[in-house]
Amino acid sequence: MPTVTIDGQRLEFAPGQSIIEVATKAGIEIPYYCWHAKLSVAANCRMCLVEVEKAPKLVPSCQTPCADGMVVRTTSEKVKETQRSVHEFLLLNHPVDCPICDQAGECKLQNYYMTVQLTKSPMREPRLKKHKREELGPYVIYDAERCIMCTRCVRFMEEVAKERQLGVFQRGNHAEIGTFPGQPLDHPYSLNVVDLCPVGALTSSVFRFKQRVWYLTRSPSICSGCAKGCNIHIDQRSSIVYRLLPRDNDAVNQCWLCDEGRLTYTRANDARLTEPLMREAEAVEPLPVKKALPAAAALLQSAVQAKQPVALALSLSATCEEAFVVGKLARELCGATSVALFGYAEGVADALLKKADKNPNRAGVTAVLGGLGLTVTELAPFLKALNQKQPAVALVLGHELTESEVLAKAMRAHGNVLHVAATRTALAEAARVSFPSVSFAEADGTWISGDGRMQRLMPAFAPTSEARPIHTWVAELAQALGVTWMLGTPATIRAEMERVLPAFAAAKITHVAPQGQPFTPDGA
Amino acid sequence: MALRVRERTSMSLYERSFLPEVVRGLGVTLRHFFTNLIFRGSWRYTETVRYPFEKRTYPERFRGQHRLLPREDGSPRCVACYLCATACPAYCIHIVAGESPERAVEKYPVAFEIDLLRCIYCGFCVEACPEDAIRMDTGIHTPAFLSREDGVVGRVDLLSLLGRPQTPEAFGAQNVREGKPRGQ
Ligand code: SF4
Ligand code: FES
Repeated sequence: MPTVTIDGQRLEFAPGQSIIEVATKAGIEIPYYCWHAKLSVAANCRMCLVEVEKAPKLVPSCQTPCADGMVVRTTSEKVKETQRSVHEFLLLNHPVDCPICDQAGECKLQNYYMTVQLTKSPMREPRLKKHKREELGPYVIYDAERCIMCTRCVRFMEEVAKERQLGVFQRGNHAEIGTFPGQPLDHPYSLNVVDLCPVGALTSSVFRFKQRVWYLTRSPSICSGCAKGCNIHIDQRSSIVYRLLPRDNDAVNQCWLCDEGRLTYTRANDARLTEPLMREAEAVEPLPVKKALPAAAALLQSAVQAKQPVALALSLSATCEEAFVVGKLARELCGATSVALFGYAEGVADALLKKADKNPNRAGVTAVLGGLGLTVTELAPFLKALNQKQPAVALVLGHELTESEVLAKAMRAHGNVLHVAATRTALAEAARVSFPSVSFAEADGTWISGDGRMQRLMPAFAPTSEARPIHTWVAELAQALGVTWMLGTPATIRAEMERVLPAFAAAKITHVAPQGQPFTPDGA
Repeated sequence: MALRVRERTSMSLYERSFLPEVVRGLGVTLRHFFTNLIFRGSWRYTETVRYPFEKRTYPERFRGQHRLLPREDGSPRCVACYLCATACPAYCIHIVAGESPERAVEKYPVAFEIDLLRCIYCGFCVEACPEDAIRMDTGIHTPAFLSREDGVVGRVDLLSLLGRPQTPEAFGAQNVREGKPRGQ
């Protein structure tokens, strides 16, 4: 393999790789703004200039392909001096309004100022005034004064979103990013340009001013927006989720995330059910767990003992582990042969990420329940049975469905429905007893994407209220019925699943990498 | 660092009676009494302030209760950057930022609260502020509160406080003896 020497290190490279790619991989840091691994090279910020032996001038390392025997220096005096000057240039007209800029704390301009510049601005003229707070589209706000014209956003729209909604207008100092008349930046992936913008020129109107980024704690998770299973970061503070950002995973979403998925962060915050509820006639009252659990268990027990049918419905957003324990309850205690599944209505798919199936774990829930020998049905038969009062008791586990009104009505009419949900919806009011469960941000378990990829959901924080995962409530109910399963944590559930279900034996949870792994329902 | 453990020994009868210590303490008081009686006006004289009839004037940079500075139109200068809240070691500043309707200032504090019961009056918030929007120059001691909620001062109250008038040149003990609290 050909080699290149960067800062004294001999590094191998594949033909066509640029200096910056090889250096970054080897852990040698070259400052850059406009380069992005997933976009074309523009080489307009000049931040990445390095010294190459025998080259007359400094070369942009993002654009210069490595050549065999090339000797590159990234830390020489000449390079450092150039970086300092380039940075001075970039900051020439910058308003330095970091106090009101959302990017402060994760801004490349701030970081590189500290690492490469650290000099006073040489600007003696009044700084150029440009547009501030310009709404480019429903979610993106543009500040022209902060922009460094790296054109990452323009290139994203052109190359990834494949819709030219952004362009560079004017020239020189006066250059600005803008939209075309009558065509706002309303692409379903528009918020990616906010992530891409290395400075605070593009900010998200959803996250704007909600928090300072240095307060946020980041943890890895999976997007609950559709069956794609995009890898995300959850940014939360004090158990409130403020934003979702894409997490790199070349097998799933690369480094993108759709706007729709980003907006699902509210699912972790809004209208959470925090304590059990009990409905007596029309009055819905909160109840301590100590009272709610025996009440629910007594209801279930009377039906189980009298050998009356118990019907179950499970959300397609439940984790595989939750589905397993629910399946166990259905088979071993309720004597049910089928479980109804419900979820969000079909949406539209697109070529980039979005799947039509808006439920994150259809594949997983079906695989688990099927593996347990249960048949899965649509919601309709369950509704019909409820309306005909066939089951003595019914369980509705989860709230994630589009048409909850119909189900709520049936639940209310039936009267003896137990419910577990993260959000207080009409279902919680209609159920006899409702228990609070965890949202995707607190969930621990696995989801299987529509592409057959098993991915781990990691809790971003511990539930702050009485909320517990569905499997804990189900196990508690079973306990009250006199059966102890010892399935308290996802790990113990997984151990049991691996024993019972061959498909999961091939995919041990301890091995589910942060990047996920392929899953085949037949365990191959 | 090595840990030194000191045994706690029980007190002797002599110590437990406390009498010798009481006498010793009275001795100190008496010494000051006679010194002040005899050496009036000399360097040995111990200066005291007849509180609460007389109040000692605080130095120029005394850190009293905070106030928010207004702009010319009366709105706070604060841009809700959270730097004070970040610098605060007692976590007593609570800000909620919002988008301001006027075009000139994008960000403003919808809520700005200081929990005076938690505040340790270190003045870090004043140092951190990039807008000179918060100062501790009111010269006001923390008032006493009847409930914890009263200890939380909000934006409107913080804006209504005034700084101390310009400090006169001469300040210090001499000012006090004339019975004139400085700056009034
Ligand atoms: S808005 Fe941001 S991403 Fe777009 S050109 Fe300006 S600095 Fe670059
Ligand atoms: S990163 Fe190379 S010129 Fe911008």
